Amino acid sequence: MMVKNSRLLILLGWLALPWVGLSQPDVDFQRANQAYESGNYEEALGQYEDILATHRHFESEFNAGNAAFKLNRLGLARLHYERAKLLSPSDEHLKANLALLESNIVDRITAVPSLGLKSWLASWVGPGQWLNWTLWALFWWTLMWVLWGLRWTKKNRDSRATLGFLGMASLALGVTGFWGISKCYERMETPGQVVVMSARVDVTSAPVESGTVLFQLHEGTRACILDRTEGWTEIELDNGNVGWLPDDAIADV
Amino acid sequence: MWALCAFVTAQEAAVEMTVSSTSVTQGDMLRLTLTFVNCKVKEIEPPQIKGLEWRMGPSTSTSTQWINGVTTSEQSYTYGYTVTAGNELQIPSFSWRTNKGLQKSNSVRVMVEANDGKAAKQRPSGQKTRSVQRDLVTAIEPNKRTVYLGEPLVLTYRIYNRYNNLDVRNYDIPELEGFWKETVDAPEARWEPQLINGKRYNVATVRQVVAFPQQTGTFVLEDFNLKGYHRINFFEGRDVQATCDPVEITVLPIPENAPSNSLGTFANLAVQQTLSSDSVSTNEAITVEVSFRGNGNLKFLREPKLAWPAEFEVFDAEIKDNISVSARGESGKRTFKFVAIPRAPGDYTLPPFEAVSFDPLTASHVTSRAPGLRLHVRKGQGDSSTPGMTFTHQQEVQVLNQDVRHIATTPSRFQPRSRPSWTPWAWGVAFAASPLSFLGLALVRRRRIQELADATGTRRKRALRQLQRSLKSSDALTIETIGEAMEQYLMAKLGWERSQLTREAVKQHLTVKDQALAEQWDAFWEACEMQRYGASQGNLDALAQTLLTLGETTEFRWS
Repeated sequence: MMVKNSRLLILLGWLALPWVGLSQPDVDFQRANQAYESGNYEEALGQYEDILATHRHFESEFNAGNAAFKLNRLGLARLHYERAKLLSPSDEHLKANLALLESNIVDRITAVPSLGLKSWLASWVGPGQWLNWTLWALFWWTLMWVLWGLRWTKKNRDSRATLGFLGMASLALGVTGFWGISKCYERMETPGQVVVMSARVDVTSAPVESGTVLFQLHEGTRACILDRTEGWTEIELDNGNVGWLPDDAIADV
Repeated sequence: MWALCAFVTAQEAAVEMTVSSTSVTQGDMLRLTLTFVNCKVKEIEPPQIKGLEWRMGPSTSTSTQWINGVTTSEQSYTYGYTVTAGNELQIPSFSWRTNKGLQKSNSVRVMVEANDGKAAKQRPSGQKTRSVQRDLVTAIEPNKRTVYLGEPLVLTYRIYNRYNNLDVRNYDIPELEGFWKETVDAPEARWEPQLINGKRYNVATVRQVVAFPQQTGTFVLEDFNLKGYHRINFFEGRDVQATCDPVEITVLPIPENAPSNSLGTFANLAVQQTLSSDSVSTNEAITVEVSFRGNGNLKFLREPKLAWPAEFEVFDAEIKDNISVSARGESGKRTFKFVAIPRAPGDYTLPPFEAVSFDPLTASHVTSRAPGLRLHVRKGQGDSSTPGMTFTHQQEVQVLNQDVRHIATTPSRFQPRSRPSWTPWAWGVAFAASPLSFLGLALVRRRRIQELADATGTRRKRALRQLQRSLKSSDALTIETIGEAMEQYLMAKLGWERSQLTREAVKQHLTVKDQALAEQWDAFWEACEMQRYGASQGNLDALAQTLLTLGETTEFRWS
């Protein structure tokens, strides 16, 4: 009996190990919050970034952006806010802070009018959505098989047709889930945006220093990545302007 | 300037001694001219003068004038000397033997400046003296060369001219990049004589500007150019041009610890706050005046933000200026006149008003404070508002500052960036579970259908299981139970009906397949009959166990 109990305890301990491990960033997070609230923004920023080195966490990204903003490091603040946006695109506080930050940076970029479908879809396939998409796909995938199994047991023609239709619908929804998972993975592996970290940087027409300077960007401006070569990134602004930026002047979102 | 040292009448003989300059620098060339009026010198030698060293001369000239029947003749001898004296030089009077007898010249006093460079620095107008060395020159003369951002700087544009007949055709006043300027009202420019470096110049001040630097750094003021025409005589003349030497102005930034509410750079800025009346009725207008007095660009002052009580209706301020721009800069008073109407009775206080500015005289930020104002508002006649009723005037909320939203303090789930290696397998199993289950169920269903289609075969397959279940399910084991279980097993196994099942039939049928098995079944059948119809009761458990063993043996051998 004793042996059986001890085995059970070991099993429970092993299962609880990941949850015990997750409590450490929680402690670090609370400590960083205390540093922020006491006005020690530099220390708070460092602690948030330590957490973010090992974890994806919306609140830590958001708070790190706030600390950087307080330190007037607008590029770093934009970077953390954009990363937080990938984790929770619809957060109202984040939207307000991003709007305030955009009013403080030098470059004002008027976006080309569009349907917004691309950006709307992009907001659904951030790294933070991976688990949601996986659960979504698993649910519909499983339901599809259940419905098809039920359909097999039915002899009534109408019931079979209904269950067959519902099974196909579940399959379609499951496929969208698999698409979301693949996009999330792709998004995690290959960043889609950059933020300018230098105070001012020339955007050239070619990935060489002797390229024609097309325009200049300033710290805190965000751009979409079009292409990459050794040491250079081709970017596109929301207003449609395209050019090359040196990698040492930007940071991946 | 030519110094006139004596005055003589036309008829009288006299000797005049003049010098080219009464103020010279050591080492300069000084011309000394002896003019014999109405007389002629018999013999002349260069005068030996202490502090002067003879270099050249004499050069002579003679002139005769006849005016109103009076004849005046002059004979001049000019000598060149180098000034060697280091201090004041006194040229004494000399006696000259002339045809009109012994004549005595006048004495001349010349100021000499030592040529050691130090003296030049001590001159207040050293820059001007250096620049004004030609016959026609323009100059931009600032009152100071180093100023703080926003500090007024007076620039004077002057023309220095030694020509007697000069027509100034035009001159260009350069634009002041990086400065806000106010032009000083001045009368029309006119020539005024001025002695510079011992030379007589006609000087005209063409413009004075009060400039307020708006950028820091070093600025070079130049391109004050003049074009004119020098009329030599009635028939002759030539075009002349003049330009000015560049003037460097250094604009210093305001010290970095400037308060955020600083108004700018002003000298001696004083602020005053007055109220037209300290007791009024509701809906009766009051006037609050905020005045700024000092030196600086007062026109830059914007409407001050006063902390009005919410019960006051305040109108836009009226601006009254009493500002003068002169050669000393810009000074005066700017007054903002607010008209406000208190809409509710009560005692109100307008808080003290502070004006922070940078004083360039002390190079520090100074605060001028106007004391607060108190106002008692009575309930006016005909005011229908009931006692205790608050004023309902509303206004848009003024956004004073903006800041980021506060940090999020409730954390969501921390997602590790590096997931455990088993995670993909776990998800794989989760996704594979449903199709595998489906497949399993399909197989089970298929098997079930097949079983339903072959009832006899299914019964045969399940014969042993049914036998075991029958023996285990009975609470009290009896010979009837065992016998029924045996018969059910044999019927299922052989595919027979109960009517076909007899001991002999079983034995014969089994003997064909397995002799030993047939004998075992026959022995068991007999044992059952003995148990049922015999006198003594045997061990039923052992009998049941024998039946199970026999069934298992049969399954093994027939499979």
